[in-house]
Amino acid sequence: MSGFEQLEKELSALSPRAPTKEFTQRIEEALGGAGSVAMCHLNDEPEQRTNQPSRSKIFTWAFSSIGLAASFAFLFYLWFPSLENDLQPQIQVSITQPFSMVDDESPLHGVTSSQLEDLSGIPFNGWLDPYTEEKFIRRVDEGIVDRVTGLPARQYRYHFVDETMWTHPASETRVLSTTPRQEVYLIDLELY
Amino acid sequence: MNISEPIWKTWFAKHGGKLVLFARQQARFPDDAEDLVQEAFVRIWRLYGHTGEVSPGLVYRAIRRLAIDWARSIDRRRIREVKVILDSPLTSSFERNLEKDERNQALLRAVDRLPKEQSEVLMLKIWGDLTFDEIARTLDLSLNTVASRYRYALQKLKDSVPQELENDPAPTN
Repeated sequence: MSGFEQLEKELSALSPRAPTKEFTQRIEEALGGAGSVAMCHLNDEPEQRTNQPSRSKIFTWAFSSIGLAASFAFLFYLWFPSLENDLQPQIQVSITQPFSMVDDESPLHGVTSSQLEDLSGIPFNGWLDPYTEEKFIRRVDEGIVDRVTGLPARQYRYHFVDETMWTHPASETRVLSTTPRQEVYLIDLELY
Repeated sequence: MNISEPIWKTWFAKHGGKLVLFARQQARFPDDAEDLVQEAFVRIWRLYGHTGEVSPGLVYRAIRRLAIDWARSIDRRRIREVKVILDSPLTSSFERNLEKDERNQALLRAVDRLPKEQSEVLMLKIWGDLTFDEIARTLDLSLNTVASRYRYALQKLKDSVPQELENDPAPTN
């Protein structure tokens, strides 16, 4: 813009007339309560929408599997505390086994699934496909936030609990796993 | 800043005049300018007022969109009736500075004669304090178009102000 600096300065020095009192009064009346009500100020960089069903399902299954394995381990130690000492030699024995002989299905390292089944009394096989259910808890309106593009959006946070139930009909055993989950939705707003 | 004064009043005192100036360019009729500003400002403030940091660019953009909508819905007959009052000089929207009045009046007359596409870019850049990027978003134009229009506007002003000074009419207001 070389050569225009003086012109730009001259133009900038001109001030548009301030709004009249009558006009400001009109705005005040039109604004009503919105002119004085203060709402909470949210972060400038809102959390992006986290609703990714496929990924959340994977996490649900992963956590559920870990939960099932942990349940096996917990029940094993809870129900057979006296066998703990007896188990030590067996674990040592299994460690010395070649890797190919270790049961990959077992949730406990060094303990085969059959050993676990014998010691815990809980069958390893024969479980039905897990039953999963998404339970909606509540929706929270978190107000207006700015998108990265500068446009406004209303943010809603949904709270869920994902439940997974494993059932073993033969032993009438049921294991329930619950996982809390949140989804954030950004609803674009028109500027007017 | 008066602590007891609502934030919006301080904001509006700073930007209100510029918004009206822009609305005047965008409105089909000068009388609609304040209504446009009121409608756009109230809507944006209801959305963002709680932050106390409303971007003027949002209000400019809302004014433009509203002006387009209003223009579409205006009765053609009203257009003919009100066409008479369209000649409202830009000088009436600015504070008078008697010291440089002659030169300033010539400048504003020259701005008034610019094509609308150029004067709206000039207005947003000079008095709206928007960046080229913000202007591009406000007017739905590319960055290059905005920069070009601004350059053409300045060039035209530079060329036409001396002529305006020569043809200085009787002072208005």
